[in-house]
Amino acid sequence: MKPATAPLPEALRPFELIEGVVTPASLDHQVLQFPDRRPPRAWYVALAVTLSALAVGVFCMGYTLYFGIGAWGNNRPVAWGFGIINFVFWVGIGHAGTLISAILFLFRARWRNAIARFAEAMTIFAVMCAAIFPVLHTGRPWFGYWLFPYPNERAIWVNFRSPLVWDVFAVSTYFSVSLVFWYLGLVPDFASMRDRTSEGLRKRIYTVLSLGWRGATSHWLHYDKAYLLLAGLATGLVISVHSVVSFDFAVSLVPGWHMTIFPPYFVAGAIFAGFAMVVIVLTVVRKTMNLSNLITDNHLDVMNRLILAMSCIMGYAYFMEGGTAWYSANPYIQHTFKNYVSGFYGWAGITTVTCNIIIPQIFWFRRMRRSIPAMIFVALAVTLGMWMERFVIIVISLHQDYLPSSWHLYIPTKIDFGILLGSFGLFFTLVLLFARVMPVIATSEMKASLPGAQASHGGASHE
Amino acid sequence: MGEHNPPVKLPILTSASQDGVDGVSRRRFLALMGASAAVATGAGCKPAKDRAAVVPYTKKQEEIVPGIADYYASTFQEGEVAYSVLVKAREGRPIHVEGNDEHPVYRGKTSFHATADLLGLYDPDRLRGPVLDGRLCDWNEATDHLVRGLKDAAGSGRGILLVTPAVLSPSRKALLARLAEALPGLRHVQWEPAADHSAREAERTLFGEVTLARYHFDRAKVIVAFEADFLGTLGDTVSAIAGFAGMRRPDSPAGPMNRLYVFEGGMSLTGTKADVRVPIRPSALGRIAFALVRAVHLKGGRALPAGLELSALDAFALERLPEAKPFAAQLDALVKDLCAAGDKAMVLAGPAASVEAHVACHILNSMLGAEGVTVLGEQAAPALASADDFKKLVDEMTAGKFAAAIFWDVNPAYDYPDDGAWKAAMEKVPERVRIGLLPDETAANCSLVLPVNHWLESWNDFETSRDVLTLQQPLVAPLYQTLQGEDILLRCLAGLGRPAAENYLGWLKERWRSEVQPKDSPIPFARFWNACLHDGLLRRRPDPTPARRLDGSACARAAGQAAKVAPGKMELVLDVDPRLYDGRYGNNGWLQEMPDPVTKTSWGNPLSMSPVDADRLHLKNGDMVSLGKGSALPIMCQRGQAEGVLRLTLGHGRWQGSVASQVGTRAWTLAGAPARRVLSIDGVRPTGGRQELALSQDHDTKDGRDIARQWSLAEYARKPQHELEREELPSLYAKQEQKGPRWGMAIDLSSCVGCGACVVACQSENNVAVVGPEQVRKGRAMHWIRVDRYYEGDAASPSVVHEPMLCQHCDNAPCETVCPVQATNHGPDGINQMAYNRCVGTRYCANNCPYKVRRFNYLDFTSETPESMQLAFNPEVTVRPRGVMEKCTFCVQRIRNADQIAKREKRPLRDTDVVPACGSACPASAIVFGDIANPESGVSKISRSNRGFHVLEELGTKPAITYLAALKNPAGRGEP
Amino acid sequence: MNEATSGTFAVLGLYSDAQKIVDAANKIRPRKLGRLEAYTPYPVHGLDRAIGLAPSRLGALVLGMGMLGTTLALLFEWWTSAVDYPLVTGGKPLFSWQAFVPVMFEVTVLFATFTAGLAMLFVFNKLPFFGHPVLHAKAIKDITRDKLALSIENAGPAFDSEVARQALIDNGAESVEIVPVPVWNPAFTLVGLLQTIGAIVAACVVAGVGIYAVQKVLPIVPPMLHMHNQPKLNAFRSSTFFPDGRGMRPAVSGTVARGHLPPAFATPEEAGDMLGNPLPLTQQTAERGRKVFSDHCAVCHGAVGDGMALLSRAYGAKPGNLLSNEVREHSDGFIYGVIVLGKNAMPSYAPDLDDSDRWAAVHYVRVLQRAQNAKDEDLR
Repeated sequence: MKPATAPLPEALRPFELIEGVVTPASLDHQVLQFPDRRPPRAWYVALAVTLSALAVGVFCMGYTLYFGIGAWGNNRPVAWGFGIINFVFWVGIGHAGTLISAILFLFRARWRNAIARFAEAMTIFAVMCAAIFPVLHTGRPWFGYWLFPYPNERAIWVNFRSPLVWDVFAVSTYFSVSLVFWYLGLVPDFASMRDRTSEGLRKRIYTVLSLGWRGATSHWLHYDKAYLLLAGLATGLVISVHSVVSFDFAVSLVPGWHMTIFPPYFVAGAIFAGFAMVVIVLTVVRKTMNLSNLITDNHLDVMNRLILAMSCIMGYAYFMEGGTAWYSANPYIQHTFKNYVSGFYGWAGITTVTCNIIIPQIFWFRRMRRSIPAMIFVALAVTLGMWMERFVIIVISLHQDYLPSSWHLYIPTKIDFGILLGSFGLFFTLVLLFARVMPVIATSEMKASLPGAQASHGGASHE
Repeated sequence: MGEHNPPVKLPILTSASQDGVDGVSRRRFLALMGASAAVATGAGCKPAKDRAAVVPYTKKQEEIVPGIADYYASTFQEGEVAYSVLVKAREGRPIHVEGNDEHPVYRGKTSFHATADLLGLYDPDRLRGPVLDGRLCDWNEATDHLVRGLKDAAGSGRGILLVTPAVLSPSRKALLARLAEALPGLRHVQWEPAADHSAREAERTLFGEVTLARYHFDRAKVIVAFEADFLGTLGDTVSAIAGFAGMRRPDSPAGPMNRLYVFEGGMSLTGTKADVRVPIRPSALGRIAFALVRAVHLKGGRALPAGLELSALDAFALERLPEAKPFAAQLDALVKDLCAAGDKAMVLAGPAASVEAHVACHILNSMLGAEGVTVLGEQAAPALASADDFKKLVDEMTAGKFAAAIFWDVNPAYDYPDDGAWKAAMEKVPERVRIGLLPDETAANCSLVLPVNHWLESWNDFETSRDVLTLQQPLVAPLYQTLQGEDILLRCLAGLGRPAAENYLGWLKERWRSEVQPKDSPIPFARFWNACLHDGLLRRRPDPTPARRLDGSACARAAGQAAKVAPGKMELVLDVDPRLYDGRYGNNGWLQEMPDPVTKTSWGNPLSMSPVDADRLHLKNGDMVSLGKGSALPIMCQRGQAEGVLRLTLGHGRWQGSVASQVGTRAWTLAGAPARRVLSIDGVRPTGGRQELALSQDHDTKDGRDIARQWSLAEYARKPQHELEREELPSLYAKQEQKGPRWGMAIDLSSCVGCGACVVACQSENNVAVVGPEQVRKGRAMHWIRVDRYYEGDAASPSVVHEPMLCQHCDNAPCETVCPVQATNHGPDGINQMAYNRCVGTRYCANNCPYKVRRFNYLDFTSETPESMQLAFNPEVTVRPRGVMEKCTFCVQRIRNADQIAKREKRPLRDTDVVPACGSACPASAIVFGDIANPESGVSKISRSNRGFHVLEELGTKPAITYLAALKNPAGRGEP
Repeated sequence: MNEATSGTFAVLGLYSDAQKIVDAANKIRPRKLGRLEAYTPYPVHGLDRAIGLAPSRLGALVLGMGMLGTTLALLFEWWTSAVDYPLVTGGKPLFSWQAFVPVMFEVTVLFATFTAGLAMLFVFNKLPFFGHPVLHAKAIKDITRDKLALSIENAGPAFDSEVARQALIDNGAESVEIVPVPVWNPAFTLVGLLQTIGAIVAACVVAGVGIYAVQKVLPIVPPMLHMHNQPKLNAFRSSTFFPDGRGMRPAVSGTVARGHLPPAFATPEEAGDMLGNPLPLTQQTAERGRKVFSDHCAVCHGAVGDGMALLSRAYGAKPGNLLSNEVREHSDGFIYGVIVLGKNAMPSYAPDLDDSDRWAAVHYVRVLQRAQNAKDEDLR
């Protein structure tokens, strides 16, 4: 007798998406209950912390508005400092959400369902944080709207050759699309919330938010189609957005910025940082909101695998950059790259490489991929590393460019740090609020993928 | 220094803020807490209503058309030099100072001190009226008091002291003579602490008389300078730079080009242009100079002056002089060059050189026949008090010899080295009168303070050479309750019962009618006078003077002296500050912020020290040291400085004046004796403290980048043709076609001496903001044009290249592409335009400018400008508020103006019609502006030179500015 | 029984198993009992076909809108950069399409996604709709949680709720609910109207105040420095610095500006001795003189120079008669001198007339004199 077919290697076997028995009813009960219950004390403490961070940020922003960018460390030649670093950083964080909800949807990676909703929410919040900076960093923020091509009595228009205008379009498109995408996914869940909450203000709110969704099959028909299309479009968008952000640098002629590799390298970096942030948030969320049976170790494991993959791509990108500098035989670029790892700011470059390339390598080990402390450590490291990477690219490249006579150091001020802190405060405040009042997991998607949820024959089926 | 002399606040002298330019930003930052509240509550919102109404002239002025500038010829005096200037006025207010194009020597160039002193006129610190015992009074009371004081003094039998700066005005001199008749006890002393006293001493011993030496650099082929910074601080720098630069720009490697030998301890501006530079202690200069005398006599067979025997020079055999050993090669070459050059040679020494060195220079000049050719001493110099005279004077004051003292436009309380002695001396003078512009240190302990007119409010005449007499006329009626100093004297005369004239203008015209106008002239005086005023000068044809004869015995004595001079442990050279002169411009924000041409420090005067010494003491830039006396001061490692030599500039460390006070170190106190310029120091002691220098350039070398070319003549000659001819780089885009002129510039790095006159002129013309030391340290200085200074070669004796850097107005400007709102874009005449009002301030353009010439208003530097200073703003140029990017516009306002005129005259605009501020100010004429689209224009011709190159050409920005490589003419090429 | 069914909107049969409801739908559909519809908490694959729905045509619309976005973006960029506001930047051509691509892409995506998302909700699914009967059914709680409902809906007289109910039970519905047509409350009640109007008014007030604030207050809050208020002193501006409040200062008397040499003569007589007319008497100079004369002189001296002008008649002034012998005997220089220095009541016209204007005027005065006493040969 021949033995049964050889078992697939562990890595190729589809892993369990849920632990224990989960029925649609239990799912609803588990996920949609939070708005009904008073939050635990821990939640209030956390909110207090994030709000005070936000307060610091708001104060520093006010200070900047009142006195001007002179309150920051920016100078000549380093005309861009923390402002743009934070902008690029936060836009990057956003990308993980769209990637999970759109690209993985197209790839039919069913494990995304559990984490998609949270990731999308984080996208929205991250982009909100990012949007602060382009306006705030201008010399005359009250004229920020001049960057939009609106008809005006002076009949003057914006410069469509400027990457900053591309940015304006890319980021605003990205934000609105993410919003639509996110809301679309929420509509059925709002319907469930509506129907499980008793009369009262909250019911009214959910009723309005759900637009009177009733789950008619004729609606699901178009809904599915729209969701598919949106996923496709968002995929193109998410790749374009950070490419455009990278054009801010690649299109200029600053040595160290003027690189053809920037677009893919920035996109990879963005997803990298985003995943790290998602991991940080999810590990906390699944613990405190005990969703461990829905967001399983398997989910985190596969996330960490992606982080590892991205880390390797980043390593390649860094190596490529160095190679370009060496091969181009361009003294200016070569000088800049020496500065990345040596010189006054050398520590920044070294931190970047350590955090982004070396530390994530521990994810080659399964045990590490599944140990919460390990993954939090790595995620924090990556977050720091990716912020530092933007610091390296922007500050180090600028502070010594073509004419040595203009070289000058850049020293950030308290205000710079205060605003950075404030942006984190804003982000986590929004996350905390979201976790309390909205479905943190896309229940309708989960239900659709629960065992026995679909007809096994008679009628087309996807899987 | 501050701690010794706390600022004495004279009451009701000024309404200006006492914490000055930087104070503006400082105050704002200290207001953090209140501000945040203001932001939150929106408190302190004041409506920005337009405060100005339309006010026309009631009586129409013949020469003034509102909105159109007028030009007036006038004269600006500094020390023993009188610069003939042309002042631009709008609606009867002076707004810019340039050189007088009618003047035979200056030809439209002038000292940037004259340009900058426009701020002196509008200085908010200025005295608003006479102050008697600390209270504001009216002029009658003041003059009565003064006259009474003088009468009493005359009666008391004790003397009356009148201290003035050098008197170059014959009319003022005559008036003073008249005063002396009226007041027998009057002692008039002329005091110029910054004058070259050793030079005067040398002349006195050699010729018995002191003259205003005039150097013809345009004739000199070999120049030897002993601590003589003739390009930076020594006397008439403008004609020196013009003449020198004229001999530095050969149109072919064959020359003609002069060769400059510099012997100096510190690195001076002149040292940076040296072809052969010998870093050497000042104490050795005398011996070296006499060694040259001996060598020129022996090798060149030039006769020694009568009375100086060769035996007297035995001590100075070049081969035996220890300090000459390291530089034997250079000295041999120098001797050869001198003998070859003959009367085309020029040897000169500066204040830090000993009297003997000066004597030796005169000997050399006369041996070589240069005396009377390159070096002229025809015009008798004003009788300045020598350092010793002044010391004696102070002793007499202490001894109570004077019943009254009048200090007119001098500030001995600040520049007299010994504060204690000075205070004691002043206490012994019962009646102390101050006649001056500002409430300065001397005014602080005078009982009667009489405010005078600024030179832009005054009448006068000046005689500094025998062939030109220059006139000074007021540009505006006195802004405050002030009088011209001479008018005060006239009132005194009237009060003393000896009325001379009802006002100084009358006196001046009377003198000119009786003495200046040729007796046989047919034209009426009014016409003669107006013509002179119109040109600002009167040219005369003087009869030649006999050449001066050297006193041989004096030469011998000097030789004996020179042999004896012993080197100090460390030698400290005190030099006049190229920006603040003797300190009189301390309150001038433009000059304070202007970077020192060599050290590139603004706002302060670090002690420069040779890198070797600094390493020995483990010191870096900004570390504080103490020199035994005086307070601690920051140091600066200065490449090219001789080991064991320290250098410090005078003129800083004032303690009165909202801008001047507490900036830098007061070097006068270190000198010990008045006007001493070099002294021996036991050593420097690090105090461990630090004080960041306000450096405008942090990095000193080119790091091997081909951004500022400098060749020796030999290299230039060796260059293969293909390296010299330049071809256009390929471009993806079709070239934008050009209609009308395409404005461009050519900058000759070989003529540029790096003096920085362009920086000041630009600041005045374009309303460039002053930001203060804190912001300069942060790298936020606003200068539209800067002079980059790069060192090449070893730190001991580097070769230096100065490169003025301003907006290159690129054809393919990187800044334009990236501006999201098209605030900066390309004009039809090729100018890279900047629409301030459209600028949002993303600063992307600044990042993308490879030349880093764009300036951003990081803070509000302008809206708190004191009202009087606002008058100094050029009405033709927008004043930029906070948050806006700005940069060089090629003085577009001047271009448009010339365009208007051309239109009115119905002719095409010629490129010669336009000269930007930097170009017209450049004493070296290194900056040439014009239409580069027209191959026949001057600028195009220069740009086609073999030395031409674009900075960072490889980036394809296609700059409109062509630089011409700097040339050096090192020794060893035989006949220069 | 019809009146029983007429009030019925639909009959819902609830299922737990996706397979069952799909089978049921497939069985019931051919019987044409009414319009078939299903309500499920999540999309059940195949159910749409089972109840006979055609595939969605959303895709085509999205594609179309996307293309529209692309085109509009390109047109807009071309028009603003090359037509309406043509500025050269960085030496690039006005229509540098390469640089326009990113924005085109973003606009495409924007159009497409908004179409996909919003058209789906609002156009295809006709949401929001809060009055749908099913939303008021008891079963809706289960439907949005875990139950799958197959509904046979009242689509005309053929519908019979009893039959439908039976059909559903036969096909394994766990429970059946009859959903009545809800009783609509009238759309326009007084309260409703008042609320609506009130809301609109409130919105207008808020918007108005907001816009006013933005327009009037924001631009003058201190940090927002604008350039219209310059600290410099332009021509004609007043200044609080000078006691007389005038920004424009008179020239100091006795000074001489470049190109403004004061006249060398003190009296017209001197001028007469010194100067002769440098301008040749030609057609243009005479023409110019006529203009100058009529602009500046005629008002007093009269159009023909006889001193008989409106002004002088009105005010009884006695301006000189330029045709008098006395004036005719004056030299050109003298007349010039009078123009420059003034005479009796006549002020100096130096500020108003430049040198050539003055001489041209002198010519014209001569012309007038000659015209008034023409000799015979002149007429020929």
